[in-house]
Amino acid sequence: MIKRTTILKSGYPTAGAGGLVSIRPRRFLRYAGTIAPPVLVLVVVLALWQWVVKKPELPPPSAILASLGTNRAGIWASWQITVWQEALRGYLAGCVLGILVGIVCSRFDWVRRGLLPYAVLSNSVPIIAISPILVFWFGYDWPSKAAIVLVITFFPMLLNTATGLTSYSPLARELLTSYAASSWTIFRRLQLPTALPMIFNGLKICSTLSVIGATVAEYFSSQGTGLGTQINDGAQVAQWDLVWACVLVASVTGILFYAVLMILERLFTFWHVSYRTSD
Amino acid sequence: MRTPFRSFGRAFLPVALVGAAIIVVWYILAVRGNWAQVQQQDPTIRGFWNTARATMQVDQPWVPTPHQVVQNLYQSLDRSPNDPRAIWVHLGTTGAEMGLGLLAGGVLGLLIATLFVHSRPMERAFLPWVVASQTVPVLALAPIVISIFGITLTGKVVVTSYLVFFAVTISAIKGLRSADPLAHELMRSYAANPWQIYWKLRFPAALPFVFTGLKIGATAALVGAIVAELFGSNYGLGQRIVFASYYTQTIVWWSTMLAASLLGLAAYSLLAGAERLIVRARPPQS
Repeated sequence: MIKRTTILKSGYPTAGAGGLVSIRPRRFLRYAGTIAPPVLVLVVVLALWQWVVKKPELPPPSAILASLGTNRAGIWASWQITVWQEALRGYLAGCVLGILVGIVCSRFDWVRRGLLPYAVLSNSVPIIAISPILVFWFGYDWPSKAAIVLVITFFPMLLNTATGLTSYSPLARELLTSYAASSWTIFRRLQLPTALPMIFNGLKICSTLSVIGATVAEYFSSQGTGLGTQINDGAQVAQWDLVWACVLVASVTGILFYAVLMILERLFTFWHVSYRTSD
Repeated sequence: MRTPFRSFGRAFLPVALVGAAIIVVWYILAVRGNWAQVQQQDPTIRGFWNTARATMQVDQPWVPTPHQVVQNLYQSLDRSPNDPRAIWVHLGTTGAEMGLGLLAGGVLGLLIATLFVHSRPMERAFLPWVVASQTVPVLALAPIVISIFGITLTGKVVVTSYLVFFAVTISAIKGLRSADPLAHELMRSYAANPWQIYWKLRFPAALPFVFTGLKIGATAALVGAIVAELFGSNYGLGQRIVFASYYTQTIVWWSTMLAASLLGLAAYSLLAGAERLIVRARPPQS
């Protein structure tokens, strides 16, 4: 109720603008119409979970939140290890490497023909299963997990960059060439703008992949104190509220990571068709 | 002039060259990586070639060579199928978990997509959560699921089908909506009922999308099966990796990885083949 009145109030100042008046409240109603049903579902599911489900593995949401509160110091430490050290570093390294190799692929057709089939192939290979090998090589600390995240994020990034940079319109390219544009200008003015939406798509896919990858990689090496290890250890001693708290933290982190990239995407590709609105 | 041979060379040659380069680099890394280990085991060893040859025959090498990995996989094929040292039982277990997950997840995904396409309120209420469920690390829930269902096939299939269901739902919704609007109107004008429209128009139009979803889901299911096996299983590729970890049998790791990759590729090719068989009858649609 409160929400509605505040929005309506903000709609009123335009009251003098004639035909535009009715748009804002109606838009709000449409907005509420899309938000309300999923929220209702969430409330019902949470209520069922809280009061009906009785299973040790599914502790009530209140217990999960309570566990999040009592264990916040430990979870915060794990978060720093899993997200800050493993996921983020691996993500940055993997994405930078993927973009660089993608640029090389777009410049040299021959490299593209040779490399891209392997990138496509890697889609149907369970990369995460190499975790024990990387732990064996780089030790139990964060570098081994960051290396896994690097490998996981590299291929989607490479594929998206290489495809994006080569999907420009041939006509535009011919026009630029006929104006004697340098290859740098073509890259800067044609290839990069066409590729940006795809590159951001890759960055978004990889953002959630990196958090999941780092968490799951920790399952394979039950040392250290990351979120994955906490989940693994918690499951072994049946401390399910802690397990769920860690899962919750990992999920929220993945969503926030994705959201940050969505904002960046809007900032960098505001001109793209998908953001054009009718009004 | 483009002869078939030349176009084959254009497509295949770079791939083969990159593959060869990977294998050469792998051998160089193996020699470098195992050098210290060889010298430690046999301090009397002299000469570059002697040492290099020895680096390829280590029992638990830092970096196993490609031929050791392939040999290990080949040897593990040549045992009775139920021998846990053979790869068959593991391949079969993980393959079954993946296949059942694909089946259950595919059917579920298609059903839910059908429901969403036909009922606007359902879609509005549940689709956001289907999408949001992707951001929840489903694999992080694996230990919980395995604890609920115990060391059974069911637990693993729950994990794998969950991963498949998402990919199939999203692509099937797109597919069911992709039918030609003109054809839709034509059927309506002939007073076709929703059931007929679904089976004659929407479902065939959705099939290619469903297969795309299944192909994406297949890898996800394979990863899900392997990760779920870490938390308790008697057989399976994930279990074989855990087993190899206890004894630091590096060659077994690599050969299991190779087997898992081949399983993933096999599933992908099977689905692609099925798609070609089933979707072939349809005229191409823009």
